[in-house]
Amino acid sequence: MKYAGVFFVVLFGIGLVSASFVFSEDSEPVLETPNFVKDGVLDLEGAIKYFENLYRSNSSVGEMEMTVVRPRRTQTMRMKAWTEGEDKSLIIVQAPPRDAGTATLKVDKNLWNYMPRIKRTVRIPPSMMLASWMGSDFTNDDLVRESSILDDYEYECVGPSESPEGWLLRCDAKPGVVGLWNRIDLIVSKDGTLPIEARYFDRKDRLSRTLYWSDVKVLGGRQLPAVMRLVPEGEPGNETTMHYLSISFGETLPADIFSLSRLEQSQ
Amino acid sequence: MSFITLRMGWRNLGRNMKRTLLAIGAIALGQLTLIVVNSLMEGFFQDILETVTGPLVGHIQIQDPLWHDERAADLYIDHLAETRKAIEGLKETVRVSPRIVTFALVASGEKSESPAEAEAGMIAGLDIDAETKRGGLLEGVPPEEWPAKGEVIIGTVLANRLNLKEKQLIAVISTDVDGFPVSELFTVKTIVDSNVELIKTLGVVMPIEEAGELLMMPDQVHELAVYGYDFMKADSLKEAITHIPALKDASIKTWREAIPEIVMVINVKKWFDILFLSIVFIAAAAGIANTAMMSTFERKHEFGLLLAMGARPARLVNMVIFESVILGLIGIAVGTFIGVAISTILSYTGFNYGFLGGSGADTSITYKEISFSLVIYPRLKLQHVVYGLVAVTLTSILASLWPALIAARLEPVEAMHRT
Repeated sequence: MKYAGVFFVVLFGIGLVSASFVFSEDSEPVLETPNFVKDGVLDLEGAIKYFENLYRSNSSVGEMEMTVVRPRRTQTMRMKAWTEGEDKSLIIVQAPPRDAGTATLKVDKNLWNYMPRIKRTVRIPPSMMLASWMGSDFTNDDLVRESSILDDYEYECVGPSESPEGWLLRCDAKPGVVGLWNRIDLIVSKDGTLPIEARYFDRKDRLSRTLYWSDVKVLGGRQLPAVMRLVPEGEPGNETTMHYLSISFGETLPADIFSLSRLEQSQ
Repeated sequence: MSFITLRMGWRNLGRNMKRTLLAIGAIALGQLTLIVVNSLMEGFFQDILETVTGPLVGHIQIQDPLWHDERAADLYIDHLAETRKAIEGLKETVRVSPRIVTFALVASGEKSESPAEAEAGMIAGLDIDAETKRGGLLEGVPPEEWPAKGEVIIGTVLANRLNLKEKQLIAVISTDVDGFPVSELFTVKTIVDSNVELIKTLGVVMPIEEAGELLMMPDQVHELAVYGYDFMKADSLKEAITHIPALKDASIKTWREAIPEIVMVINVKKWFDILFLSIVFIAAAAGIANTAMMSTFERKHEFGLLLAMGARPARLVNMVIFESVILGLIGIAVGTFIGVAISTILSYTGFNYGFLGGSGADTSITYKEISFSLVIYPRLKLQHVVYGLVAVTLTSILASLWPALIAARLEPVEAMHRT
């Protein structure tokens, strides 16, 4: 099961989330209590498979607030997002008025931005994939990159983590896998179901950024961390927080919602 | 030295014309090589220095200490107006060029059926008046082509990539000083073929006030390039700027400090000059010493006869030295004439050394965002001629001393007998 980078983890809350549910065919959650810890030992493969499956959703519609903190200024954007499978998504900024109507469309590995101020849509070139998305600490690459811990990383359970409390899972990129992260240290809850913290290490094995999950609540019938905070390393005073206001899964979406014409009608 | 001694020395040069001509040829070759190579090197390095201290770097660069490594939009010099006034008030300052520089996405702003492909670009907010002066980033752009509000100048390469022409719209998408997204449409006023690679390939140049407004930097800049009267006196200019209180936390660098690699290359030139001078010195010494020695041994009988007739040894020494000096001066004159002629012709036509390295028709190379010309225009200096003249004259005297002393110490009877 592939998932589209850390961004969709953040944006849709369907990655690294609470594992109190399993899903039926139409993605509606069915309450069940998974158990990934037996006799004090974490069922690593089971936990990661479960974690990867949490991304499954035929479609989703969500509303969220993204707060970008900079040393001199803080800006909060309210946005709405639609997704279909793993390859299609549309995000439209609704507030503040200055940025309202700004939209991002992702179809496969293509990314387009619509700027209502100049009434123009531009396709983001591959060379700009590492640039910031909407001025946040997320990059365009976070939107389009697909990776899978099961397929692209060699993973192991290092052992119990004391701060924060939980299990520390170390995921090292497999040789030959092209990607931004050389290593991801993931800390999950003591029962192995809730993500708590992920540390991303770059190709030189330097800590690049840390993602924190908090405020677990039921959203769209699933128990999800409602707040995710991304803190870049070495940039004091900078962070981006995504706060989920609502999310629903399995929605029927208009056929043309992931089209360029729809993108330009985003206002 | 009597006239007869001089005349005898002169006539002796014609005794073995082939040998004399060979010696003159060797000295001339050395001198013309010295002149041509040194004038080429002078032209090459002067061009490098003017390019380095010209548009991009200036004589002094003032930036945030972290700007060089991070180039982040929020690494700026604050209080532009106050700082600029203080720098312009220094007696060493000729011009101050404030610059706002940040990366952007740019695309054609013309309406089309399909979305425009964005390209990487660079917003350059400049003081257009200052930058169009000699050595500025926009040197030579006439006032009627300066961008007004809502207009930009773009580089030729970027214009080609975006398929944009003058008067068309360009969409600029970037982030402001705090990293928040901004976008704006501009009209392309002029397309320039700058010798600054950044401007040519990425540049979206707009008045600094417009860039400040777009990027929320009303009184801030990323860089101040300061020009003094002489780039070789950049250290004293830096010293004066360092005392400005508003810049106490800024990074202030002379062009030498900003691009130390170039300075290292320039320092190599000094050793190159010495190397060439040494080669000429050795070549002349070998040629003259050989000629004088052969000539002395051939004329032992004659020297013995002169000594027997009452000539003083000093006269023989003078005669041999005179021959050598004349030989050297003729060689120098011939070499200087040919060398100056070649250098003068090349100073008009230029010498494209790119062909030597297989660069084909390229006439410039880019290093550290600066475009360097591959065409050298030699710069002839009087010192290039004088170095050879002095070196060969001294060499002539020194090289002929040994054979001259041999001639002076001859026993007249023995010399005449052995011959």
